[in-house]
Amino acid sequence: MPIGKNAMLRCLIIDQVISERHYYKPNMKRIIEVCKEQGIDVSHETIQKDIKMMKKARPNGFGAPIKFDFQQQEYLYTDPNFTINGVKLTREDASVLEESLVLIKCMLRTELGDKLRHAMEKVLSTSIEEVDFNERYPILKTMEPPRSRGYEFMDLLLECCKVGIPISFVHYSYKNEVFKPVVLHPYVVREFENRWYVFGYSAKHDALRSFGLDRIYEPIKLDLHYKKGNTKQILSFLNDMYGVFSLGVEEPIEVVLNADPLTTKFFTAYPIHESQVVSKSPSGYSEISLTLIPTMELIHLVWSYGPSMHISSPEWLKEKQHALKYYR
Amino acid sequence: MRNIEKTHIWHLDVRRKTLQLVRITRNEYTTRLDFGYQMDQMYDYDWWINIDPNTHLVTSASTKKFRMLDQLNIAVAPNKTMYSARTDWQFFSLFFAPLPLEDQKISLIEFENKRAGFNMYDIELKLSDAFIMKG
Repeated sequence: MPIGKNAMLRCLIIDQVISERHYYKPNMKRIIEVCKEQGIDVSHETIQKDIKMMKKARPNGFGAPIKFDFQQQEYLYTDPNFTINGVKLTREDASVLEESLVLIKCMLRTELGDKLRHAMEKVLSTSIEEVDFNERYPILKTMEPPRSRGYEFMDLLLECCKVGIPISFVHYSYKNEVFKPVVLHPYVVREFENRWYVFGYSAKHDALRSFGLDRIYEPIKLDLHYKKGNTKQILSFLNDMYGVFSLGVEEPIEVVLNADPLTTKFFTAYPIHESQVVSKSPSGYSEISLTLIPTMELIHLVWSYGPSMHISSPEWLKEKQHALKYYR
Repeated sequence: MRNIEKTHIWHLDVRRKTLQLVRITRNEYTTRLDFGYQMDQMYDYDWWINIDPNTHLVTSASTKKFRMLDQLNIAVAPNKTMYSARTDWQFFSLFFAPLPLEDQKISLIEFENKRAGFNMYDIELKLSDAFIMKG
C-alpha cells in the first residue's frame, strides 16, 4: 500500500526527531510536539502505527531500524547513520537532473553557474556511484566523509543566519577542555576540509568568532536584538582566509612559503588560494606567494609537509609557528 | 504575553572539580540544567559517572524539593556512563519540575550530607540576568 502524504510527513518528522537526538530527547512527547508545530494534530496511536510502518521493508515501509530504549525512554536508530531523508535517486530523477545540468551548462557562464554545475555533477556522481549487489565495486567514487557531530544543527543555524536570530549554545573547547555558554549573532556557516563552522559576533568575546559545529551543544534561538554583520568583514572571512581561525590579523597580508620540487608540483596542481603565485627556480624549488589573512590552518598545512615546506615571511608568522610547535 | 509563558535561559559557569554547570533553561513545563564534565588527571581505568535517582533541587523561593524527573546523556545509578581516557568529556542534562519564576538561589543536591557527588550550592538566578528564548 502506498504511503499517504500526511503519513509521509509524519514519518519525516519521526525521522527528524530521532536524528536530532542531541538536540531534544526523541520520545513520543517530542514527536507529537513537532507534529503540532507543523500543524498536525496526531495521537500516540497514530505515531505508533507510523513507526510500525516505517520498520517494514521497502516498498511498504522504509526498513527503519527503530528501537525503543526503555532505559532512556526514547526512540533510536540502531544504525546511527540511518535516515529516511537519504532518498536514493531513481533513473528518472537522475535523468531530470542530467537535463537540468545541460541547461545550467548552457545558460550560466558566471562563477555561480560554475559552482552550481560542480554541485550538480557531484549529485549525479553520487547517484551513479551506488553499486548493484551483483557488482563488486563502484567505477566512480566521490569523497564521502561520515556524518559528523553537530551537522544536525545545520538547518537551525542557516535559518538564524538568514533571518537574523541570535543563539545560545554551550561550546566545548578541545584545547582548553572547558565548557562555555555562548551568545552568538550568526552570519554564515562555512565548510572547510569537510568540517563545518558557524561564524558570527560573539557577545562574550565582543568580537567575530568561528565555532566548529562538532563542539556546539544544544543551540537555542534567543529573543534578543540581532547585531548585524559588516559585509566587508564577512566577505573577508569567506574569501581571504585559508581556514577559519585567524591569528589576530584582520586584513590580508603577503605570506611567502618555500617549497621543495615535489611539494611545488602539488601546489601548482592544487592551488590553496586564488591569490597564489608560484615562482620556481631552475632547480624546481619555489617561493609560493599568497595574499591572505594568516590562520591556524595555514600553519597546520605547512607542518603537514614536514621539512619540504616552511614559512619564509613575514617574520612574526615564522615566530608564531615556532611558538605553537613548542606549545604542542 | 504573560511572563510565565516565556522560556528563561541563564548562562552560568559554576564549577565543582571537573563538573561545570553551564546553562539553566526554565519554562512552564520543566527546568533543565546543562552540565559539562571533563575527565582529568584523576582518571583511572574504568572510570565512570552516573546520577543518583534521588537528585533534587532546593530553592530559596520555596520549601519544596524539586526532584529530578529526567536526564539526557548520563546514566542513572546503578547504571554507569563509562570513560575510556583522561581526555574524555561529557555534555549532559538533568530535568526537574519548573522552579518558581522569581529571583532565587538554588542548590543541586545529589547526596544529602555527603561530600561526594554532584552537589552545587547557592547558585544565584536573577530574572534580570536571563535571556529569553525566541517563541
